[in-house]
This record gives sequence, C-alpha cells and structure tokens, in this order.
Amino acid sequence: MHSNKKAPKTISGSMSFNIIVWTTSILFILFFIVPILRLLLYDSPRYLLSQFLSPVNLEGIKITLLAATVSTVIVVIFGFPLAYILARYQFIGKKMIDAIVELPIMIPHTVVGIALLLVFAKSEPAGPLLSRFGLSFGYSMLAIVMAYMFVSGTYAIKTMEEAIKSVHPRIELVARTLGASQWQVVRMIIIPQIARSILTGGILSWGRAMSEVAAIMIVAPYVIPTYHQIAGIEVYNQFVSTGMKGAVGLSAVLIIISLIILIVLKVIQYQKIFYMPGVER
Amino acid sequence: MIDIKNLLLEVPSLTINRITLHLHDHEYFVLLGPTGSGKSLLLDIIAGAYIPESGEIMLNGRDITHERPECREIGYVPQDYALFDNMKVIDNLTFGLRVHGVSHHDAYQQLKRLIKTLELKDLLQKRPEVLSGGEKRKVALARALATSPKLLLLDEPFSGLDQNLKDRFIYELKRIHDEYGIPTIHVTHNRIEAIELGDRVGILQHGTLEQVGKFDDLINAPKNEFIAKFLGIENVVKSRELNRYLNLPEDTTVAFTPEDVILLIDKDNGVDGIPVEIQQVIKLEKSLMITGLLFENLIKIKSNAKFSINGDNIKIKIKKYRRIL
Repeated sequence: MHSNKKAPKTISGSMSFNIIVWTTSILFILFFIVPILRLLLYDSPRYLLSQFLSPVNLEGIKITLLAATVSTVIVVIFGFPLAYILARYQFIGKKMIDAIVELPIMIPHTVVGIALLLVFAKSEPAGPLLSRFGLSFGYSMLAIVMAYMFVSGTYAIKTMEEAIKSVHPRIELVARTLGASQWQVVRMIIIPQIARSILTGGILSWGRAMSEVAAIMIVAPYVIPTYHQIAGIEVYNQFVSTGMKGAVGLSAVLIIISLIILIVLKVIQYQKIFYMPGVER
Repeated sequence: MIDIKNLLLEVPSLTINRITLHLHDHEYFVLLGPTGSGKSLLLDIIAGAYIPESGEIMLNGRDITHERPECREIGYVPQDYALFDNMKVIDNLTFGLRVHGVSHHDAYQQLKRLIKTLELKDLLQKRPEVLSGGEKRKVALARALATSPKLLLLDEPFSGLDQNLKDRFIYELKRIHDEYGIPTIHVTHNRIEAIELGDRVGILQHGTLEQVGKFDDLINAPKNEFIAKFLGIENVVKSRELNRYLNLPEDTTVAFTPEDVILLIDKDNGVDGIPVEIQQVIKLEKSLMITGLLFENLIKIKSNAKFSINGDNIKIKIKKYRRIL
C-alpha cells in the first residue's frame, strides 16, 4: 500500500535559493494557467454547454477524439518494435534511425502535411496502392490519422525506448535460459514491467495528436463527404468568421474534454494494476 | 558434463582468451578471479548472451555454442539476481515450467520439494522488491533449479551477504549440490568460497584461464606470482641471495605466507638465519605483523613471539615455501 507516513522534513535550504526557485515556478504555473482560466471563464457555463451541444462542434470533437485515439493505438503498437530495437540492439546507422524518430518534432507541421500529400495523394507514389484498397488520402479520416501519427509517434516511441532500457538485459537473458522465447519475454516480463511507461507514452502521443491543426489544414481541412472538420480547425473558422465569442466556446469545451481525459488516464496510470518499482503493495 | 574448448570473444574492454575447461558430472567448479577478469562475461557466453568468435561449448555431448539461450538447459543466477519484479515469488519460481506449457498448479506441485528444501514457503506470495538480499538469492537459485538444468551458473552468489548468512548459504548450496548433483560453475573473487565449495578451482586473469586444479594443488604450486598472491600467499620473492640460503637454483621464485616465517630469537641466531631489515611492526591482538626487507624484497611476517623486537635487524627461517613454476 502507499504509505500514510509523512515525508520526513528535510534541512531547509538558503532563503534566497528558496525564494528564487519558488517564485520562478509560480510564475511559470501562472503563465500556463491564466490564459486557460480566462478562456474557461470568458462566458457563462450555459453558453459553453450550448456550444458543446451544437451539431457542428460535436461532430468536430468526435472526429478529433476518434482520429487521435486510433492514431495513438497504432503508434503504440507499431512503435513498440522500433522502441525495442533502439533500446536493445547495436547496429550501423542506429544514430541515424534515432535522429529520424526525433525529426517530426522539429519539422513545421504544415510541412508535414505537404510531405504526406507528396507520398499518399492520388497522383503520388503510394496513392495507387491506397486506391487498390479502396482508400483515398486527401480530405479523409485516413489522412487525419496518418498526420496525427506522424506528429505524435516520436513521443510514444521515445518513452517506450527509455522504459525498455530500464529493464536490465540480463533479466531477459535469465528468462530465456529458463526456456522463454523472445515473444514470451516481451509478453510476460517487458510489457508488464513497462506498462506504465507505455500508458505515459500513449498519453503524450494522444495529447500531441489532439493539439495538431496545421498538418490537417493541408491534408484534410474537411472530411469528404460529410464536410466535417477537426475541432482545432473549427475553432479557427469560428474565430475568423464570428470573432472571439464564437471561438471561445468550442475552445473551452476542447480544454475541458482534454482535461477530463488526462485526469482519467493519470488516475488509471497510478492504479495498483501496474508494476511500480520501489512501491510496496 | 561440459566441455569448453578454445573459447574466444573480444568485447571493448576485455578478451575472453581461448578458454578451455572441462567439467565432470556433478562437479562443483569455482572460477576465481579479480573484478574485471572476465568471469561474468564468460558466464554470459555460456548462458547464450553472446556468440564467441571461435571455440565451442559442448553440454553432455551436444554442441550448444550457437544455440539460443532458451534451448541450452542452463540455469543462471546472476549477481544481481535478475528476479522478475512484476511477478510474485511463486510466479518467478514457476516461470520456467509455465513457459514450457505446464499449468501454474502443476508447476507448483512439481516445485514443492524445492520450495521446502530452500525454505521458501513464507515468501511465495511476496513481491521480489520486499525481499532481503539473502531471500532474493534463494529465490533466484530456486528459480534456476526449477527447470532441472544440465548446468548451473552462479555469479558471485554470496556478494553482499553478511558472514552469518554467507555461512548458512554455503551450507545450503552444498546440500542442494549434493541433492541435485547439477554440475556448477561458481564465479567469485573470494578464495574462501573456493576452499569451502570447489571440487576444483580455476584462476582467471584478464580473460585468460591461468591455472586449474584442486585448491590445495594450486596453493602448493602456483603457476605465477599473480596466482600466488591471489590465493593469499603474500610474499613472493625472486632473489639470488635467498635462493642461496634455501639451496635453490639461482633464478627460482619462491612464495610463502606471513605464517610460514619463523623468527629466530637470540640464542638461535646461528649461521643459517636469513637476515631481514625491519620496516614496520604492528601489534595485533595475539601476534605481531612485521613488514621487512628481505634482500630488498618487501615481505610480511606474522609472529606469535612474545619477545619485543630490538634493533632494526632480525633473522628468520622460512619453514615452508612454494617454488613458483
């Protein structure tokens, strides 16, 4: 169980050190929280609710959540082998692969959209392949999911890589001397031991996907045939067409939804079902 | 029976240098070596973590050099235990059987005797992280034994244990070895473990297996100065003058322990005493530890003599010495 004992008091630091550390931290927290609070309190709860219930907004929120969730599941599942390779194997060009995994964080996201179009649009190299499966890229949910995967995959992969590194390779070796195959080692030891990190990586990726707008503006500013838009673009549209008042409603709703999901995931993350090093149960 | 022939592997800081080793059935082999001599690396190779650049490992007549670790039938207890922290002790113990398709219940039934032998019953429902060092070691040993391996590898199994626990664990290890008879390679830097447990002992230095034999044979005829010192023979001297006193060929190197030296008191100060120039005298509880120069070689002498040392020079006799080969 989590201990109920109070943490022991530590020796207090110097006054000037404490003042600087605390003031800086508080200023930073205020910098994060004030704009968000201002947005949430800009209008009445009744107005926010009406915004939430407007069909256009609901639809926008729905496709954003759906695409971000699908994208997260995919990057976690397909990112795991890459994370494993980066954590465990030494090979020529490993640094290069590592750099490629981190690259999407650096690229402006409009550029991401254009680059994806240049590969997957109908007339481009991978376009015919998608057509063969009856899929098309531009203005599709597929494009939204793929853009999300591109901008958010790094977070899941790097988090899992670090977690796998924290499991000593000798644990794998011992498990294998006991007769376990590599599959069994991954399933019975690695994944259970890093489950919390997988969830953390997933949350980061999901959050990153939810916040993406620029790449989507290029690949799927709206989805054919419904003409629905992801929530982030909808906010922009409302800001341009009706000004602050229109944009604030959906913005606030988006923040609240993100907050609720984040809190739920954090609670799950700290549940006892996951292996937690150093915590007695 | 295990046959290791000409095993060669280079890693950045170390080379396992053409090691050849033969273990009989039921043999308990202790591999002695200082930190960084390649002991753990050798075990990792035998367990299947690395493929050697050349050489072969035969286990009961089967070539396992290139086999995957899961096919080798080797039990491995690493120095850090490598317990699976995400499982309870019981699940750690049954792991090897479960991955072979045995049900949890049947695995537990099969392991009852082992659990009793190692007194693990009270630990079964605990998580590894709450166990003491000694308990973790027992669990790791039991887990390795659970799959009835053909060879057992123990890496510093007593490191970090206090003397009491160590004595108990040495006793338990002996009992387990007698009961299960699994050939064992036990690596350590501690020669006491070699004396207490080893049917035979090997000395490893810089990845080279320097000498193999029964401990007594090794200590009576160490192959080189390193081995002599590592086995606790502190004084290693190569001196023409000393060899003249001992009637040995001129270029002989002799090794002797501080206890092998007898101080000659005044009335014995005959012609055959070997002169030693005293550097330092430390009074221990029941003896004196003297550091002195023996023909310009620093040596240590342990003496139970009750007399006090007068002057800077004494004469000694070396009652027992080994010629280094």
